[in-house]
Amino acid sequence: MTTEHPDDRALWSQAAGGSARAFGVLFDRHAKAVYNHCFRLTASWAEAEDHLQATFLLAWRKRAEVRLERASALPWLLTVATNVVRNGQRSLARRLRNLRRVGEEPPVPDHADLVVERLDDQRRMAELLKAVEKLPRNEREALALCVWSGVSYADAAAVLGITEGSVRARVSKAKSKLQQDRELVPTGEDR
Amino acid sequence: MTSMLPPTRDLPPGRHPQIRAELERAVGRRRSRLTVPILAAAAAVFTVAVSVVLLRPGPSDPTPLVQITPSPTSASVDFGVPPETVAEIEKGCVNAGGVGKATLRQLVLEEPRFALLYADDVALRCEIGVGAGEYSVGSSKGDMRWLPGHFSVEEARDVPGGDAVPAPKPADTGRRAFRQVVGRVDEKVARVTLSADNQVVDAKVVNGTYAARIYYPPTWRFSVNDPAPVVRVYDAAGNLLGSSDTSWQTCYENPQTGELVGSVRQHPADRCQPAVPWK
Repeated sequence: MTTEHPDDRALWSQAAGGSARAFGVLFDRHAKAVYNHCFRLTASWAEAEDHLQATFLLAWRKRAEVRLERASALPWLLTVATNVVRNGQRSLARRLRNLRRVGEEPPVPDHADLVVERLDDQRRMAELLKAVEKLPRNEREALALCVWSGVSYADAAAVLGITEGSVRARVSKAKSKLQQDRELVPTGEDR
Repeated sequence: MTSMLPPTRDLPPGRHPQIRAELERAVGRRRSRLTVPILAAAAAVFTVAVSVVLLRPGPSDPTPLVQITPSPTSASVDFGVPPETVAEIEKGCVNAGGVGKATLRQLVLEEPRFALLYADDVALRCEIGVGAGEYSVGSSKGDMRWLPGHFSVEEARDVPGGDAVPAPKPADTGRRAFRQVVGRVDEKVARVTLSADNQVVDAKVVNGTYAARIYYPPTWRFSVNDPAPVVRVYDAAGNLLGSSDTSWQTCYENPQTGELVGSVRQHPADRCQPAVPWK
C-alpha cells in the first residue's frame, strides 16, 4: 500500500502481517471512539483507559483470525471493546500499567476544571447506565453500539453476525422499554 | 435523571502517545524486558477458548519437572486439604476478588498454589501466597453457566522463572518458571492435555474444571512468537473432542438468548453453534 492514507482494510492486512506501525495507525484512528465507547459502558474514564488498551491488545492478538470485511475497523473494535468490558479484562491493562518503567510517566497538568467535568461525566453516565441496566444485555449493547457510539445498523449487523433487522429490533425494543418506563435515556441518534 | 449523554472526550493529556507506545512495545517483534510479562499478562486474561499465545521457542529444550496426573471428576471433591482450609481459601479469594460468593472448583497445591472458583457470572483465578497479599485474584466476567463447546480456557499463562531477570528479588530466587492453563469442561470430557515445547502433560480434571502446568528451570523465560501451547480434551474412549488451536474457528451462543459465549465472532457470516450447559 502506497497511498498516503490507507483505509482500515489495508492497515489491517499489514497489521495481520506483523506491522506494528500499521496497527499504531489504526490505534491513532480509533482510540478516541473506543475510549468513549468503553466509558459509556462503564461510567468510568479510568476504566475506559484500561479497556481501551486491553481492546487493542486483544485485537492485535486476533489480527490473523479476523478478516475485515468493512471499510472501517471501528465497528469490530467496538464489539471487541464490548466483550472486553463484559469479561472484565481490565486487569490486563492494569498489569501493563504496573509494568511501566519508572520515569516513563509524563507530567500531567492538573486542570481542576477538567477533573470536575470528568467527574460530572461519570455521575451522569452512571445514571444513564442505571436506567438501562434492566434491559437484556443484547439490547443494552445494541443501544450503546448503534445509538450512543453511532455505528450503523448495517455495520453492527455485520460484526455481530446477525441480520440488520435483528439489530433494529434490539434497539427498538430497548427504546420501547425505556420509554415505557419513562427513562430519559438518549435513544434518538441511531442510523 | 438526566437524559444527556456526556460529551465525547479525548484521552487525558499525554495518555494517547503513552498507550500507543505501550501497545507498540507489547506487539513489537523485538524482545524487550517488558515483552514477556506483557504477553504473559495478555495470556492471563484470555477467557476465550482461543488460546493463541504467541511465544517463541527458547534456546534449549524445556524439562517438565512436574506432571499433574488426572483425577476423576467428582461433585464432592477432596482437594487434599482440610475442609477448614477450603473454607479459608474460598473466603480469601472471594474477598480479594470483590465478589459476593464463589465456589472452589479446582485447587493446585504445587507452589505457587492456585485456586479456581466460580459463581454464575464470574470466574476467579486466585493465586495464593504470591505478592504482597495472601490472595491475588484475576476475574473473568461472563455467563459461566455455559461453555463454548466441550471446554473453555479461562487462563493460559506463562510465568518466567525467579532467576530469569537480571536482578531477581530474593523472594523469587529459585522459583521455577511454568506454563499454566485452567478452564472448564463439560461432562463428556474425561481427559485434558496441555502440549507445549514438545511436551504433553495431563491436566488435573476435577469438578468440571481442569488445571495443568509444565514447569521449567528458574532461569527460564518465555519469549514471543512461539507456537501457542495447546489444550486438547478427550472423552472416556480417547476420542478428541476439541482443541484450543482450532476452537477459535467456531463461535457459540446461548441457545436461549442468542448471546455469544466465550468469544467474539470470527467472521460476520458465521453461524454459531449452541453453547453447552455447565454445572
